[in-house]
Amino acid sequence: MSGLESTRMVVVWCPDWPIVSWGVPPDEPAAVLVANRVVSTSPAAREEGVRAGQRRREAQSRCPDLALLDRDVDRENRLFEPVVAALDAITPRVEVAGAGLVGFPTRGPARFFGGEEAMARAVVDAVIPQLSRRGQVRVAIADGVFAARLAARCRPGGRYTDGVDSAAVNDAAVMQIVPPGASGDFLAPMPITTLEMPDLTDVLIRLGLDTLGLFAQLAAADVVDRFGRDGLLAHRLARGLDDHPPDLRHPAPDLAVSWTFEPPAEVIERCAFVIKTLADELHANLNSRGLSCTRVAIEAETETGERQLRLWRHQGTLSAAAVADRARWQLDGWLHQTAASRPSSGILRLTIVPDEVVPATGRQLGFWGADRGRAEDVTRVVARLQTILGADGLTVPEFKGGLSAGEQLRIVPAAAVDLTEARPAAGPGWTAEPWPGRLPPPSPLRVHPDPLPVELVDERGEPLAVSGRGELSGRPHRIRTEEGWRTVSRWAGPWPAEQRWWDPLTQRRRARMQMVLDDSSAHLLVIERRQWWIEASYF
Amino acid sequence: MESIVDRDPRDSDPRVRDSNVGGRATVSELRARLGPVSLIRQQTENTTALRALPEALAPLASILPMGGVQRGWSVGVDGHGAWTLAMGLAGWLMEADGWMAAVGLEDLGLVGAGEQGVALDRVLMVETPPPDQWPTVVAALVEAMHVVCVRPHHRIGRPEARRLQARAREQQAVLVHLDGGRTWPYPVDLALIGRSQQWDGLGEGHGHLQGRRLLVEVGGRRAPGVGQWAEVRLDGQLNETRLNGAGSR
Repeated sequence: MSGLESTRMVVVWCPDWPIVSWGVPPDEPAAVLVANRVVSTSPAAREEGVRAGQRRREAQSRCPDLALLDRDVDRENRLFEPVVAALDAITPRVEVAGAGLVGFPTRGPARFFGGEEAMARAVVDAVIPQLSRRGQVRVAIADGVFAARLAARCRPGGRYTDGVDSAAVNDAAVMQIVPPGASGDFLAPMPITTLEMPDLTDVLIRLGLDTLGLFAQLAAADVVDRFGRDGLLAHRLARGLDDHPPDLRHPAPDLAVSWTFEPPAEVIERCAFVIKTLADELHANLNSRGLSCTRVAIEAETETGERQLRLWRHQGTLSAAAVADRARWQLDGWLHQTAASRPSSGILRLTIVPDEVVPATGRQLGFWGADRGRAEDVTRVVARLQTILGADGLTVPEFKGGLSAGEQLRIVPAAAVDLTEARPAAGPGWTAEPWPGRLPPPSPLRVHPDPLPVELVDERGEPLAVSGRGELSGRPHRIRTEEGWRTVSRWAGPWPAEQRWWDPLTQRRRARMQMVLDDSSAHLLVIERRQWWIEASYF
Repeated sequence: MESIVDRDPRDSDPRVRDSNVGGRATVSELRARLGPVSLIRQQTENTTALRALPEALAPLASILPMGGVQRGWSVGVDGHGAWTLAMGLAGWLMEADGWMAAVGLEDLGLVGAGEQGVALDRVLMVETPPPDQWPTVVAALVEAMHVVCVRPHHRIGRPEARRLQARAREQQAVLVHLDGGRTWPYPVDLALIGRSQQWDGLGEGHGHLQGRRLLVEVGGRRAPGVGQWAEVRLDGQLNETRLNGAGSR
């Protein structure tokens, strides 16, 4: 009965794809790291005790000859494209969930190949040549994506494992078929944590529901009552149903966005701009209807009529940036394939269709505007204004230490920083060491991006100079700015500032002075190579 | 009014509040937030119960209506020490979690702004938008920021200015004009003009700048009259607490 409600799905999983995409053979210990943490390991490294989540040092201490690789998502996706292309021969509706993981409904292809097992074999035969003996492929068929995905992670008839167990690794391919309608039974003994919803599963474990089967026995109405929408979703998964109720709305055709290149684009860089625009447009369309999308179809068409269609699925909803990333990966992979499968001409047309949409359950703003001014709002505004001003048009300051008023801070693009997090680099305590030669507060409020050249003379009208020992050649008397001559009423300095004296190329010898003019304005002057400049003003 | 605010006498009873555990506190808290009265309370809080101005600017408080700058105003600063005054006010208006945006102020000395109390981890620098996009950009900023500092390089049209002003008032954000409001077609709500200043700490070839005494003329639409003056001392820092990371209030 429950089997009727979910689609029979086949999932093709290439384990350790981040490692495989770097071309590491399975018998060489290697690990891929993100921010000093292991995210993926080769089977040989796992045998030595290297696990995902370990710190770099810990991993190295367990396996000293471990090769450390940086994660490169673009590369992973680009190299995965041939695998997806190989599956194209079996079905036109391949859904890519991420690099290394694809799925598609079995219905059509299974009939064509004469049964699910024969189809699974065909899948294996198609994928194996693409892996060139570096990795393994696991094919699993079950009711619904979730069950199929877990089945792909299990040894046939065996237990669920987090990674790939070394016993099975010698086989180039592993197949697992859960009979129709048996997904619920198959899932029942699995640990509840396989739902990958830590907030929810923490509670469930404390309630004593530590397997999917126990959770599935609860009544759906009770689950909704207590755990809301996420709880219902998890409950559906645990029962072996599809994550989304099957009555998905069919998106109206006008939600699709497309672009015609004129002339056709042959390099990915030219496509990148268009992709971003299209993704934003798509999201604007969806937002105006209160929808968000869980699967997009991205189709590229060349001048000579070659077409490439890929379905990209995401467990949550796809943001504009996520859609843009996927389109870029897809085109990048296509344009970089071997000569035989590369398109023979430039890309003429790019279409993005929101294939599956669900009602958006975005953040509801506070009714009284109580949370105005918070970092989330700022982040949203930044995202919006970037479309007008470009990514470099919005910046935030960070301390870096330095001598002059303009050097103590650097500005970084606001898009590159998570504004909702605390940013210690923007706090004044960030640079603990005092910079010798820095002037005590108050610091000038106006720092001229291009210092203004000025003439400074002593009482005899001679240009004022600073000797190598840091002494003035006379009393500062008058100063000529753009606006004319002014008399210096008070001054202090010069304070010499030598920077990078050890490096003949970048070294700078400067001296600074503070001056108050007869109109009571105060300025910070600097002399470098006998030229005076107004560097900043105490506005 | 009082009786509506404290609908449940137990809520204000200290014994009940002290002894309560868990659920009780949440319920009363929620009630305080949900009740129809909270709207009135919040409005009054926003407009009248402003914190006191920083000590250095206290001489201004006696002149300003209601003793401070009100949210939703436009403020123009001009003359001597104008930017210092602006940053001092901005740092004060940002409070503990607000943000400040600076539009087209590439030459703003951020270290100096930090010394005046602006929390630099909540500052967004925005480059000058093209004139036709200027109102759009500023309107978007006004929605998320407590303070938006501007110095347009072109004259703002009257309809745009009116719309921006209305938006700022509605969102309770302060628009600070660092050019004294010269490009603004309407008189600003509050104008602070530094008429003269006297520097301390600098001699003839010795010392360094330490602080100044600034004579400020208070003008603008909301000023209580013409020719109001105040003398303020601007030493190193205006809002010291903020720089040390301590919360305000």
